[in-house]
Amino acid sequence: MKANEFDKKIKDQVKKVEHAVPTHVTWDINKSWDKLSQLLKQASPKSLVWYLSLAASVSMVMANVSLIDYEWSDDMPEHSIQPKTSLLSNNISELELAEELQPPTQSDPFMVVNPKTVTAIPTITLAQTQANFTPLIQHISEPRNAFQKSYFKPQLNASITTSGARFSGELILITNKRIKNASLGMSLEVSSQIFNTLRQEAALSNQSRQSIYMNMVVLNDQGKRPWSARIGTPLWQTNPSDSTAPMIKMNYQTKLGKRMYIGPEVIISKGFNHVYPGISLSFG
Amino acid sequence: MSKDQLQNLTLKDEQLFELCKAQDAKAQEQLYRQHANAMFRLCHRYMKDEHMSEEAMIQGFYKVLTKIDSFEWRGTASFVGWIKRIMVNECLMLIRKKKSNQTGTEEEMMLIANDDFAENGILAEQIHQMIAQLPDGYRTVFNLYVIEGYSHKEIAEKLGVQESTSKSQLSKARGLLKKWVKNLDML
Repeated sequence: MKANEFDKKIKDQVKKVEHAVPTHVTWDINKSWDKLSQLLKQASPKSLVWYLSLAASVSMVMANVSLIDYEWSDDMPEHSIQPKTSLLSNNISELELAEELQPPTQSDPFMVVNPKTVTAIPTITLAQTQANFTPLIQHISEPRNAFQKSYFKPQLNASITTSGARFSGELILITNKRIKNASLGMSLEVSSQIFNTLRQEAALSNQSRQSIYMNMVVLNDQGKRPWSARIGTPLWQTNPSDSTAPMIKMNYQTKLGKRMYIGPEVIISKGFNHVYPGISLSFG
Repeated sequence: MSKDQLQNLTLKDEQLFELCKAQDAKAQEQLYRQHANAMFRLCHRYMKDEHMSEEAMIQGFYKVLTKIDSFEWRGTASFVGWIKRIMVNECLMLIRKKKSNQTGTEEEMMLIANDDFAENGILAEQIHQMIAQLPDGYRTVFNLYVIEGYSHKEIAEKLGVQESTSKSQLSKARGLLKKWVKNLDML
């Protein structure tokens, strides 16, 4: 028998029973429906990308500074985040870059948030820089029930030093969906005039690593820290005329569990006009 | 079936499709019940294991019902074809994921197949069992090529293998099936 004849005979036999359950199985159509309907109740058809962006608005001649230096570790121990260098070493290094972010407790005044209302976070004005940091949540397409049992507690803090600003925030998210993917990014814009001044200062002080740092701490369900990261950009390597440098994204895929605690901390030098730290989460 | 009856059936399917698009739970259940048996059998042909077949089928239906927006209605046959493709892809993903658990030898499969045949008098059912008893690689290529009608090029792309691998797997699958069929004096 030729191969194609054999194939046809087999296919004909397969077609004869294609609508019937195999005879020897114990599969139950109703039980499978129960499982499927549970799945359908828990999630939406849309893929989830949840995005938080914090934007400052000052209009000047802008240049983008890309973030090109970062480091991370899967098993970094507690309290281990330390800057290699400081932004402007005499001042920023005094800041507690590795401040521990405590996981939420039951007494925390969590808000139960409908993501569509999160844009109501109040605007924070940094008087010294005259910059308005307006948190903005973009591109929310949450699954139908992902946030139903979620708690979201945004909190933003900012402080100004003589040589820069420290911006920190925290985001606590407890969700009934497993967080599959978390990414953090930041882009900065600075006026070319201030950029050049900073670069000259760096050259004069012979500092090899004048940088901007952003710390990120992620705590998982058990309050353990599966991941932490610091992002920095060496100033002297950046090109103020390069406006193509986009937000850098560090994609981190891990079993973060259903609870996530993120503490982004951004330390910026005075004169950086636009700061766009962003967090995106996806659930699976 | 008359032309009118056929038209009514088509309309009914399209209405069901539209209701599923609107996330109507009852319509979703009806669609599931309409196709569950066939899709379970399809998955079983790829997966061999009953529980894995169920897992693939549930995941497949989940994708069908949550991605139904992306399908443009062009008739029942096209819709069923789309569902089948999703099921096949789910099976392939599961096979890839659980490849390390693959066990069994040719001889063992012969014994399993023979046992089943002894209890089962239906030829078509026996063929299904034989296909299901093929080693994973042979079975996947055989199902994709012979039953689903994919070309070796398409199979190679889907499985991330060379076309020559697909051809040789098919040839080995045929060889094994022919041997089993001959033993039982079938076809």
